[in-house]
Amino acid sequence: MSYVLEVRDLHLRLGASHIIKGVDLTVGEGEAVALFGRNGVGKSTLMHALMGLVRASAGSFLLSGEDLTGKPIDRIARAGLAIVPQGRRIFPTLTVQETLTLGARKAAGGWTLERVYDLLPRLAERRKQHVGLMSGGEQQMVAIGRALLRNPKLLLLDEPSEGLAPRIVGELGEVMAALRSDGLSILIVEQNLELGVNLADRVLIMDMGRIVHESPVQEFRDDPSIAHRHLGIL
Amino acid sequence: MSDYLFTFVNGLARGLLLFTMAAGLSLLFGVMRVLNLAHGAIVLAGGYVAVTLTARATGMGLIEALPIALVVGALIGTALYFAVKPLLHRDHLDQGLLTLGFAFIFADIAELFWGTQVYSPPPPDFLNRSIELLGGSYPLYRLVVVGVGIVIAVAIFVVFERTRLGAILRAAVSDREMVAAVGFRVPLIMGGVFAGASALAALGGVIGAPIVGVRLGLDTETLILALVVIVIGGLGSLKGALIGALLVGQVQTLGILLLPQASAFLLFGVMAIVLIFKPAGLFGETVK
Ligand SMILES: Nc1ncnc2c1ncn2[C@@H]1O[C@H](COP(=O)(O)OP(=O)(O)OP(=O)(O)O)[C@@H](O)[C@H]1O
Ligand SMILES: [Mg+2]
Repeated sequence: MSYVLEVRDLHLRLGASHIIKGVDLTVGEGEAVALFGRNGVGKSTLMHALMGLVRASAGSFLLSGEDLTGKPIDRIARAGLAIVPQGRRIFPTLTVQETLTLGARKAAGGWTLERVYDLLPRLAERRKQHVGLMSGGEQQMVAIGRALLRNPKLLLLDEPSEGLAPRIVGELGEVMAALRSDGLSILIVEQNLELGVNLADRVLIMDMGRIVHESPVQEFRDDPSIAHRHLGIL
Repeated sequence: MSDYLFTFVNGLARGLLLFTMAAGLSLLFGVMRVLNLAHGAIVLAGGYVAVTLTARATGMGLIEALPIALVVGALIGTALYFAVKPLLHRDHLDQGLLTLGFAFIFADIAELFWGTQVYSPPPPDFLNRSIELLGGSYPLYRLVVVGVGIVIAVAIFVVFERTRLGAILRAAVSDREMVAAVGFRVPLIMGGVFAGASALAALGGVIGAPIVGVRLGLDTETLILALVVIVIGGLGSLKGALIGALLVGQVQTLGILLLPQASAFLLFGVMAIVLIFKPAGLFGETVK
């Protein structure tokens, strides 16, 4: 299997704190990987380092073989990485359609505005509405659509279910399943284990800036002691 | 009655001119979080472009000075962007000091070339007359300034609210990192905003030249007014800048008519009142 993402011994220090302490991970072509971990262990920081939002102190990462370590955000975006960040970070004064088309990139057989509206029909109805006035669930869909229209090689999802009502989380799960069956490569951080497990082929667990567990999703599912040990879940 | 009407129109002309100048300052703050204290100097530079082109034996008028001032403004803005770039991640005090330094340098250079006298470049010939208005006589050029000011204001809003460029700018006001994360070169956007804001400032300098009198000191005066405007309106809000500019225009002209002794205080009084009730300005969001 060829890798869409390879992270090699990545370290990140912010001031005096050593937040990422040597992370190695891979995401295969068309693979979905779930990254779990308790609050504050460095999951978002890792995602941010990959997107270029913060700079890694040491180590490297490659997207489809291209070394992007230390490159600026826009360069990494153009190389094919897209992020749905924690907290969504939508543009409140833009309409749905303005947001979606803002950074849209064409790709043969890829995502188009029409396909995104088919996938997320609620956005189609509200294409002229300002995103800042929408519900949390709708804003999350906008953030996903914005990333999809970049036609990324790899999609980073950072806690997409955070703060959403259970019914909306269900919808989110269906959307993500559709992305999966479309063959999109995904790296997802989730506190909602069920959502992550349903999506992923492989599970990683992070603790104190390190990857402390890695297994196929089936193994994680079959052995509850893994979640118990690393995530404190009974 | 016509006294008040003329005062109102004068205030309107002033307010719209002020908006042309303050819009750029507001946008610079909104998109880049940069406090550009050289903004008034660029307005004055536009004024001197008008003075020079209309006075010398160039055969040019104010209208020909417009595109040249736009280009001069854009060039100064681009240069300023590169000068300020290393300080973009520093706080406003550092940026303010640097740009204020540039403003001082500009004032010294301007004094060398143009001295300390007041210039009033003539309006274009076909506008250089008065017309009958409600039983009084009113300078046509001022009415045209009102018209042009409205056109510029509408154009600014249409671009900002209805175009793709405007969407990029609005997105950059709320989250520059995410704008980069969808593939844009943010430095290019910021350089463009600096150039555009400065071009607008210079444009304001040219249009206002026949009315306000081009002289040393206009730079700081304009800067302070523009700062008052965006503080009243809310930092980074264009709508706020428009309302603020129209308000300041009226306060200034009405103040001189009604309370000539207190007119200078009136302006800051209005600002203080606005800030007491709306600390972030009329349309400002609380700065994070
Ligand atoms: N700018 C910063 N400066 C210093 N420390 C930071 C900074 N940002 C985050 N941290 C620290 O880095 C650690 C990892 O934070 P991070 O946001 O990556 O955690 P996380 O795993 O995503 O947590 P959560 O599940 O709550 O989202 C935390 O201890 C946090 O306090
Ligand atoms: Mg996080």
